[in-house]
Amino acid sequence: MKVGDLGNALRPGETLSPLRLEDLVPLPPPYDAIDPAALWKELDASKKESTSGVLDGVCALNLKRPADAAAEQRLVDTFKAGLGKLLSEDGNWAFLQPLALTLENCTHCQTCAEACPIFVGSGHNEAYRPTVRADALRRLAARFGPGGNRWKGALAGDLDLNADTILRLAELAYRCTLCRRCAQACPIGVDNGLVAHELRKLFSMEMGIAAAECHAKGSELQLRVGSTTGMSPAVVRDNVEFIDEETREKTGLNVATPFDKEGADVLLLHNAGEIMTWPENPGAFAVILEAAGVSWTLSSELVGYDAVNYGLWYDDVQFARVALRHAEIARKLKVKKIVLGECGHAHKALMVVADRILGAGAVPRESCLAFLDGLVASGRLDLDPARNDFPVTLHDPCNTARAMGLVEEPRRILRRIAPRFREMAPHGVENYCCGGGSGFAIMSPNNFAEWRTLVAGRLKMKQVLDAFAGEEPDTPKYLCAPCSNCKGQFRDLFRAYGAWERSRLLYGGLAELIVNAMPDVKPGFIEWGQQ
Amino acid sequence: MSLVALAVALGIAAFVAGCLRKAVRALRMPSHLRWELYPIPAGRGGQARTIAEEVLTLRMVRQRNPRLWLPSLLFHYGLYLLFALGATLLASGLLAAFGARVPWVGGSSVLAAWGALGIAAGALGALGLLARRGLDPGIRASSAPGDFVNLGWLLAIFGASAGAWLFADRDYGFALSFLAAALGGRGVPGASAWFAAEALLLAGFLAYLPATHMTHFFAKWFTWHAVRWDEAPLVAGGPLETEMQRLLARPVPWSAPHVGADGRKTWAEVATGERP
Repeated sequence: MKVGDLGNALRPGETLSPLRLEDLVPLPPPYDAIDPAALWKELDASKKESTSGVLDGVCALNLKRPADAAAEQRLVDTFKAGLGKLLSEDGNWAFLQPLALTLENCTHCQTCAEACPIFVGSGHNEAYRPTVRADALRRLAARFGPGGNRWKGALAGDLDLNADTILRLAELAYRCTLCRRCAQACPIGVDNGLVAHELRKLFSMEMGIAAAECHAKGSELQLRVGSTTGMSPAVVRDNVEFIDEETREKTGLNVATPFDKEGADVLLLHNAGEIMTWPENPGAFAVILEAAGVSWTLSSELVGYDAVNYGLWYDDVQFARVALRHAEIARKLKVKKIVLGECGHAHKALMVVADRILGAGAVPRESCLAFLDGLVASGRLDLDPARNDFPVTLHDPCNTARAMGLVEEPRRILRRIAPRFREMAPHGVENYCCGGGSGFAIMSPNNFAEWRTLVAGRLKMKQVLDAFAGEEPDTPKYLCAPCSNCKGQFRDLFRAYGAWERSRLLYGGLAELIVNAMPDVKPGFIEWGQQ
Repeated sequence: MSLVALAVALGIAAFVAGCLRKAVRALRMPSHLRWELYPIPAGRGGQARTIAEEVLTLRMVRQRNPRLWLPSLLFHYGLYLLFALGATLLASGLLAAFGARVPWVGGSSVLAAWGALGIAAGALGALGLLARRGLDPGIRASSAPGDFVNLGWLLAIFGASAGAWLFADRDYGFALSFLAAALGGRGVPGASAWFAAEALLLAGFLAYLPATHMTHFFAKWFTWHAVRWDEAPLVAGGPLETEMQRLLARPVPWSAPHVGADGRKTWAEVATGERP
């Protein structure tokens, strides 16, 4: 498949760049015996024809083909209008400079290609080459963007602008986890990963096209109900009260999570998914903060108890709405700082990308990784590393490592509390994405969940298994993943590959590992078993 | 002034104007939201060292795309050498135009070797890059027609330069007298066909270059310093705060219903007001 093929009509039943399961990156034994076909789900044939699934046989967006020529023309016209806005100062001042530099300066040297875990993990499926969607946008911008013309278009390369191109480009924007490993590899500083982000914005902000899990069931739900989990303020209070009870029982410590405490030193902002799915994580934070004598609180304000900001992945307006709401809640509570819980994208959203729109008087924000590192280093927590005498490795979330440089902070903690800690290769700022980044971990339409575990997370799975090479299969092993979305992806990866049955592999957060090392806590805070 | 001299003058002028226009446009673009990427080298010294290492050794290509490294290194060093030679000749021509002696040009084996090295490295590198672009399925699939035009055009320049070096002006004495006459406003001496071909191809290429991705030689400053390494936080009363206030007051042009824009509402209003 070449970039110019994106606009080509296909014969019935044909797929532009089909996934070849036999090409997937091989896994080490005993996982090499797993037939990928057993984990794969073919897209329903009728869906393949009627939706955008003709790109690679995967469908994330359920877009319908235009019914007739007039509808196709409207689609093309709307796309062209969006392209103009994406490349204009009013429409996209927030990312115009990085985008323009990226569109203008790529030499097509392909140095970025081998950095992409999806391209490599898939066995080099051409649709996932990091330059494909970027080159498609370059060609369309040269021909139809501001100042574009036939000559520029001819030099940039052909690409018809029709419904096929648009639908496939929309799907392609959701085959990249925005991990930006390709950008890190580029000798020129071009950011082809940014293009996926910008394409998603064009589709969402002009055409109303976005992954339902990110928009309708994501940021819209959060702004309306308070959380992407659907939890209202009353429900979140009930759930946290329940978590406190469980934590008291489990640890033998008296833990009570404060809500809406005005003037507290710390407003802890969890990804609400932790409260719903991994209650041991908020429970562990409560134990740590109480033990360290920190003045802290959660918020029960609408949006204030859910750190997620899915707009970061697809829509600047939704992003700004949620970020400003978070900042306003902290200001009203008069807290001294916000500490972001174990959620990578929430870190990047509120601490980095929103930084310049929150205003200079905004409440300071701090990562839980740095905050916990400070608490551990301060000696305010009694810790016994012998209680964590099992193999541990660390998954660096892309958003805290590559986008924020938080590499040493979690390692200082792990070196203190996990005597059998070992690194993955590569790690730190060069880590591989878990395959669930940019919203993928919450997306499972059609066969997208199967694609995510078989392709997007394939290289990560291999990396985790390699990190524990040499350990006995029945030795319990802990993958520390201090990020909710990463944990969501590991949950699905480990389930699909049978990681507990085959290797006694467990994933979890960093706070749980700290609490597991506290001698005052009843032994066994980390519960080994099928997750 | 001869046609060749005029073409060279116009080519250089178009190159400077085109690059300036592109650089000024990049400089004047609105401040973006933070989008940094780690590792960020410590301090200006660390950043300068990182850039210098990248420019001089093409470190990232060597590490991540080793099959492209040698041709790319040769190609870039050819360009560095020939650019430096061109700048030396231009400066020397200017001096000579005003009557100064420039004994280092004409009869100098150093300049002859310098030119030969630059042409050989550039041509070999361009051939290697062209071969990789044609033979490597991944690079071929992602190449634009413009990529082949760029390399082909440069190869033609290296060819004409080699011809001029071999058959007409090995020590660049003619080039110096040509430049001195042109810059001094005197009648230029008649050029050989090789020299004329070299000059015309180069002039055209210089005028064309700003429209291509080859402006990465200066755009790299923006991509690295102004994006990748720009982690400057918002500071009260600082220029970034003023700029952000200006940008948040711009109208939102997007049309999707959930955005709730009407063509007049500003980014600040859309982000903080009632949602549709």
